[in-house]
Amino acid sequence: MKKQGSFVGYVIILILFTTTGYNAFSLQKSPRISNYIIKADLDPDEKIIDGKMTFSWRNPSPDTVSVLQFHMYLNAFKNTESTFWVESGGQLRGKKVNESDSKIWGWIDILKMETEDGRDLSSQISYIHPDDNNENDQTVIEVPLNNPVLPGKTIKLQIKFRSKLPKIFARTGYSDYYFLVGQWFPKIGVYETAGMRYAEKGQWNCHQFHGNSEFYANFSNYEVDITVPKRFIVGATGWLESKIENDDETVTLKYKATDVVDFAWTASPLFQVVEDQWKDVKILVYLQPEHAYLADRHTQSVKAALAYFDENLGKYPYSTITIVDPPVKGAGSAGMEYPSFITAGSFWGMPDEVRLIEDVTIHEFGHNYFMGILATNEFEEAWLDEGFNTYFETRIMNHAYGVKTSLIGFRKFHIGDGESQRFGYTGMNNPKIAEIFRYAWQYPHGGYGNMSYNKTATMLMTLEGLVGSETMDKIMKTYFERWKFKHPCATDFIDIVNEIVKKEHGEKFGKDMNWYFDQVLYGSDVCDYKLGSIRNKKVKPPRGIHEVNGKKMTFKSDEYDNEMFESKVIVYRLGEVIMPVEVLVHFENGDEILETWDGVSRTKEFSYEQPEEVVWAMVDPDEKIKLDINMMNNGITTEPVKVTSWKYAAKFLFFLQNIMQTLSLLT
Amino acid sequence: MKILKVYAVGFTTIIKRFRLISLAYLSLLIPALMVALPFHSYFQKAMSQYISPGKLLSGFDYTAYSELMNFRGDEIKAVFSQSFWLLILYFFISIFITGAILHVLQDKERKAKFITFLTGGSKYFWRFFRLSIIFLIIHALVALILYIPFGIMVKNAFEHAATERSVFFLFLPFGIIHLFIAIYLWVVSNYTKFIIVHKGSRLVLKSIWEALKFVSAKFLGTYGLILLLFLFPLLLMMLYYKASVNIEVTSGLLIFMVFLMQQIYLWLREATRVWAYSSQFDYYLICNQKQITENKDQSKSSDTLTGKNDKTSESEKVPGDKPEG
Repeated sequence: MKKQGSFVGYVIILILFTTTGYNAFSLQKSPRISNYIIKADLDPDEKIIDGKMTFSWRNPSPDTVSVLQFHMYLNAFKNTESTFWVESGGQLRGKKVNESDSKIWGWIDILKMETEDGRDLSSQISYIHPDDNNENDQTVIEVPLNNPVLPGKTIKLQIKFRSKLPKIFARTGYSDYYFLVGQWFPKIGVYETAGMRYAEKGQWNCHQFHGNSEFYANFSNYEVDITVPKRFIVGATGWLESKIENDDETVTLKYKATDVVDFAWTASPLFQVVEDQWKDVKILVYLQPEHAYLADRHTQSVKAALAYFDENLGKYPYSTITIVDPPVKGAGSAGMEYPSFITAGSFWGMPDEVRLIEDVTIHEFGHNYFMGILATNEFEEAWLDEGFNTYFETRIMNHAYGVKTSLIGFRKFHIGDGESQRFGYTGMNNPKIAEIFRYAWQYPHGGYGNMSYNKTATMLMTLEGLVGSETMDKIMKTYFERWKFKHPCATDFIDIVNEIVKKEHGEKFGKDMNWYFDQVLYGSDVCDYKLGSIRNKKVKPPRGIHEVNGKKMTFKSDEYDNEMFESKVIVYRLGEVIMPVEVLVHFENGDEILETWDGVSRTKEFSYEQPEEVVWAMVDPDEKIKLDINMMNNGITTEPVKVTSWKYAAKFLFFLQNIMQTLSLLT
Repeated sequence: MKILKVYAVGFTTIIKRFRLISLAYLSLLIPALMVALPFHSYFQKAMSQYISPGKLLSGFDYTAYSELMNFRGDEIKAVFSQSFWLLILYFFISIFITGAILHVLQDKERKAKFITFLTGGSKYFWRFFRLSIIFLIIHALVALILYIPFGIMVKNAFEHAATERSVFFLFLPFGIIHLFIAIYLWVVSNYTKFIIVHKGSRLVLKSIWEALKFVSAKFLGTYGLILLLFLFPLLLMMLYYKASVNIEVTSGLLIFMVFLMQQIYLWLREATRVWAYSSQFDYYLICNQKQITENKDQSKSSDTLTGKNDKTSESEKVPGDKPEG
């Protein structure tokens, strides 16, 4: 009995543990390489954070590690010589910073760094520049250790730091008394063991802060005490553990987060907080007062994303999701992603049909998966982060708001998110500008967004078109299950594609899918198939004398009742990229033939002898190959719809006449 | 009640001046067709035998539209740039048309024959051209004077305000003031034209000054009348919007029906232009006539005292007087 009683007690304790925040803190999902306990005091007038950090790092490798490397990313905003500033030109997201304003600059200083046994490492700290040898860049430090960290052992450090937040023009900083505090503390780099990603031997992977990339970090636990004046409303990564009012008119909020790759927070006296719930996930929206009426658009879109990811990729592993709506002056911090903490972006008066709030919310939420849980290296493979996320964003947007109306949904003017992403690539002046597979700061001439977001999303849409949605879902789910809370790279994903496609389709697409990725991921060529021409020719019946059953017979043309047509459908491959394609041929009587073609040769002819003429034919009729840079030339008809041009000419005429009439008011 | 009377009388010009309105409408249609027809042929050429642009018949399709413009749109885009030059051309045409309309309206008996139309247009062209340029400059100056402080205030507002709503509400009074002034200037510009036509004056600046005095003295009447005259076009626009918003243009017949509807709408808008000129012109003449009668009464009584003869000056012409030229 006694034994039984203790068993029941154990079960009760287990149930309690599994339903409380404590358990969330203790149930380990990731390797938790590092742990941060931070006390942060915000001086809202000086825009300075004084921080004390107890930091520990476990050496996950079989190597003895004698140096540590940390990100010091606020130094990207220190002066115009930082790599970030040089790359961005002090202008990101359309906002140009006023460099003559002394308040705009941001920096981070380590005031003291001590080991557990009190040894001061501060004097040994030096700045390194692994990406570009920019001596003026201070966004990465290296700290030699007197006592190296042995394999599997943990080092503990006490770090005092001071961070001055920049005036927001990109990602992080302040705008008046609104604070979006990201990349604000010394964050350890990732020690990649041999065989992890592309590492041939154990090495630090700690990139400088760039114009286009900032995320690659260990999974960690965070316990952060944020002290701010009482009037401030605070939100942060993870969940609020406690709130203590201090004697000096300040409050200290303790936030905890587990198995996350970063920690960010926000504070403003103006926030209006709206709470909602999706299953066991608490949704918190921190809105500007004028945007409070837009709360539903944020909560509904994040619910749509939660549900879609839950069903099609994997369970959201955190108990909260915090969405921050920045003020228009701090719009540079909009559209940012941190684990369980994102910033969206809205404008007062934004029509419901313009779904930018939904789009940004869904996109940034998606980063919890692509970057947060599947912790890829944004510096080296931004496409695995932004591109995969954009692909899922289009899937969710299309699912929730319609394929052709998901981005802009007016009845007579609409744009689908997927269409817009595709055109971001196919509409480029030079879609061959670069291959997707590149370091984020090495894309030429602004190609970063087009390649890592648009082309990658289009590449995945095309892959889905080729292998089918069901197979694609299996690929994505396997990728998630196998690599969640790890650091996958391109080859990890491609291996899964090869495995699942082979399992589902045998060798229909060849022995593997490497041919696909070689062309569209590692190559910069374009895909363009064209329906070249349709030729219909009446078959002339045989005339003259023919021998039938040994007898000479004279055929006359009027002896044949059935008229026959010899039709040819000619298809061209204009691009260098080769894809297997389908060709749909439509006859006058409504009959259709679906042809398949390996798409290898430069031209392909399909011939028919039928009683009906071919009326139209189309390459890739289901638009599976979204990478085709010109879908307009995919289909031609012998009976073009001529009235369309009249419709638009009439519209244009009316538009002109209206402008002219308005102009007449000035005369 | 004077303005209601001229408003109603002005309305009757829609029926009485059918030919005049139609000539004004044609001057709107023909130049626009000169650009719209090439647009049609370029569009048709761009569509070629392709299936995809055909999707645009049943409604807007972003992919079809963007690819059409991306791969075959150079010529279509060239037409768009031609439109700019058409608008410049129409600015001059419109000046001509305004002169023609007022020349016909000057005499209620005058018929809107094509030659009369041309005579009126050419007669007042240079005067109205100068007038338009002067008012364009005034409009630009007003906008500059209004929006420089507005810009400074917006900049300050952005420094201190948390969100964009306050900036919008900051814009509202400026927008309203600008609209008020713009309408006022427009009214002055219209009455300047009436003075030029009625008195045959060639001195544009002097006429502006007279119009300014007239409009200011009869502010409620002139401003009230113009607001009243805005009602019908507004109603027309709303009706058109209501009628067109639910029509899905998917066939040749429907395209033709909608084209007809659009052109009727534009004809009616031209009609409201003529209506507006007619009502305002009448208002000016009635007020002027009253002034003359009062002046006559005064001068009669003074002549009785001084023994002077009565003479009607050029400025004392009333509706129905023999038109000049």
